[in-house]
Amino acid sequence: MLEAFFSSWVLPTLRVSTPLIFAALGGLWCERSGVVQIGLEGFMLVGAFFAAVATPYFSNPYLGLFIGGLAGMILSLLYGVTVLKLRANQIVSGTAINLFALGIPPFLSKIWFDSTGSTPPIPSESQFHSAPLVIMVFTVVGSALIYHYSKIGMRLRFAGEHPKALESAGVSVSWKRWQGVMMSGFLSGIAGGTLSTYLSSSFTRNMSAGRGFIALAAVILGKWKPIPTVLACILFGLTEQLQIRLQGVVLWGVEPVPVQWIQILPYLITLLVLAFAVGRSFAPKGLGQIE
Amino acid sequence: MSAIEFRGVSKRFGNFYANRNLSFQVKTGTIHGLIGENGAGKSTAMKALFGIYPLDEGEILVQGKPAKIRNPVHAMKFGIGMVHQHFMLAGTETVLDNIILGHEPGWIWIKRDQALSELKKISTLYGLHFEKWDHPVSSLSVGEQQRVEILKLLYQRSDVLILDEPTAVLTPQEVKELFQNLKKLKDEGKTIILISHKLKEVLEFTDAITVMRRGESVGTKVTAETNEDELAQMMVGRPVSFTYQGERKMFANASDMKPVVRIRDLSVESSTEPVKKVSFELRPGEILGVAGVQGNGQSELLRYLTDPKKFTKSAQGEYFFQGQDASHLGPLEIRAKGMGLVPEDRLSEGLLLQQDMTENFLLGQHQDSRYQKNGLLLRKKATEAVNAKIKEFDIRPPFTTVWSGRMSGGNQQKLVIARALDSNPSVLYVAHPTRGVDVGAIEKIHDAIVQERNRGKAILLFSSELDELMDLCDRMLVFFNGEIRSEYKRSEFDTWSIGRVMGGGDR
Repeated sequence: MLEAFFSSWVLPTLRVSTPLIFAALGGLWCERSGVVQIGLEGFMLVGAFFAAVATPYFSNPYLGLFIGGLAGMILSLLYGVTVLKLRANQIVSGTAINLFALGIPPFLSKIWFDSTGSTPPIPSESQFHSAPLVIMVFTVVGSALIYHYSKIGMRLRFAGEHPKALESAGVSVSWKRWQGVMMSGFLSGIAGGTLSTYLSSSFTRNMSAGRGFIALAAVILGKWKPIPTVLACILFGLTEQLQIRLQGVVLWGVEPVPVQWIQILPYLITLLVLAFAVGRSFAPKGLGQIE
Repeated sequence: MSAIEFRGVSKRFGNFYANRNLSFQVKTGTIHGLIGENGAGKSTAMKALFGIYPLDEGEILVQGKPAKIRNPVHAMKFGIGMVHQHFMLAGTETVLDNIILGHEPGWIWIKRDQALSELKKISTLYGLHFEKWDHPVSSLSVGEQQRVEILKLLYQRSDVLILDEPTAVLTPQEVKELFQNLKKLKDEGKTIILISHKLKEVLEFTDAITVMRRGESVGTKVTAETNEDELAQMMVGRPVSFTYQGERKMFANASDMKPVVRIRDLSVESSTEPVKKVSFELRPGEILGVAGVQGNGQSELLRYLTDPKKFTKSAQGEYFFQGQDASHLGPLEIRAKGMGLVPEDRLSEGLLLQQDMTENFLLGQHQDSRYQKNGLLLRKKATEAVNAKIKEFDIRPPFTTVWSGRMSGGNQQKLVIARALDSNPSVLYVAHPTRGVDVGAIEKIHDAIVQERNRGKAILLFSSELDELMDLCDRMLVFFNGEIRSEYKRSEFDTWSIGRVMGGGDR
């Protein structure tokens, strides 16, 4: 009974939560350093694409996942240049990054595979089994430890909370924010990688499907703290799992509920939770402010 | 030996000298007061010392040696630390983390235990009692936060501590504690520079005082050999009286005049401090004072008076303005009926700090037909009006394009008052008009208020300075616990009696 519950609910929920958790941790680092990060979606998409390309190429899913992370990080550098160096508006730049990222996979897949935005399937011998879950757990524990007990974590928090205090203590706020941005790019890239190489076995067009934004919602619901953020991701993962389970099920009457209505669920719940459960905002005080 | 010496230091902004040929010495192991009106250049001098502004001329010597301080972090290496007026503390983070930021022991992982034991040693050595190391800073009182700032400097091994207006935010009890602590630091050999414009506390707690005026040093005095009058004269460059000397017009039949504001049995519910069954009348040609220790319902009363509409659900009682029921009016409507307002806190309620004088002047009068036509602002007219006010109130710097946040407190307040008077209102609600304002500006502001009274305006004056109220008011209401506990006529004013009532006692 317990075992059945574990294998039919707990594991699948954690499985679908994995990309959310990676992306949300990235978003957490970035927002904590004081930079608004709505570009998670774009980093994820690019990460997913490059992981799906690199994995069969090297016949190594670990290397593929890492390359997905690097791809996300490289795109985040572009975001860093626009908002930290050129001081552009963070919401507008983030949106631009997302739109830009949308165009990269179709463009490259046309050149490399003569397809319109999808990659060939990854052969089963170089597919992941459950390694990303383990990596995810280590990343969560590591992030929480770094967040609370390390110099890097503490200074990053001050960069978002009271940048002037950090500056007057002789630490560069800008460098901390670069770290936050790059971290969000790398982790979201990994998140995308798990999407294409762990949850499925190829890249399909726009496969992140708003998960970057849901991850950001998890950061907000988790009040910008690591463990609550991860729990929020699992909640959203659960709704996604529910959504998968309810497809084609006859809830009432004779006809199953149209699949489109069921697919709304994760997004609807995200919206409702954000509107009603969060209440007072706990955002870092210096979020979005560039001196 | 001097811990700090300024030698002919000048700092220019454009053609404006914020500091000009400034010279003075601060002896090691003393508390040194640096006083002057707002805008006299105290803060500029300290920012120069702290490496925030590069010097245009002259030099600064630290422990007798010329020091070219490049930035605040560099200043720290010279043992110079500063407690800013607005604390450099992150509210959500713990006291310990705030203190050790930038100087955390450990390589990757922070050794908090080690930092804590060192801090405990420091707090014992200097007699700064503190225990809440793991509390978030936001849970501390302002006085405690200031102590955290001082501990931060001590942890960074600063020898020279600069405190910028440290008492502005403190209660009298906390002020006393602060100065006891500063004395302990002095006894341990630290040098303290105290920036202030409160003559009394500077006289009470320092060893020497340097007076600044218009960017220059007027002179340095040994505290024991000077007095309030002399310092005030040095600060403003002319004899200042602390009591209002201007004409005070007598209105023979003032008490027969029809009240312009009538409040009866007003109660306001509030999460902070409720107002309970308050009644009073305000007549033309009088200044009615509202006295009381902060947090006894005065703020809530003022908020109700300026915007009763917001309180329709939480207030009961009558509010008549110019003979008409005003209990349903919003701020713009009451303004249109002849209300002028000098709000409690000019920084958060009175001004947009990143907008220029003209924009600020238009706030609240943007619908006035003098400054708009068919919904378009007449900027030129507004600028002309501001220029006239600049002359009338001697607002500095005299440029309409200056951001209000770049002006000193006194000049900001002059702008707020000029704006309140501009529409020639018949009723003025004035709150804390001279809070954080220098001596010279106090005089101007007091003069403006009494002049308005003499012109037959009705003025309700909220202040936490009893001296100010006793000086200006015709009548005074004393608030305690949300009620009016007593009313005094001018002939009955008595510090001790009013003080007792303010504390909840009998008259």
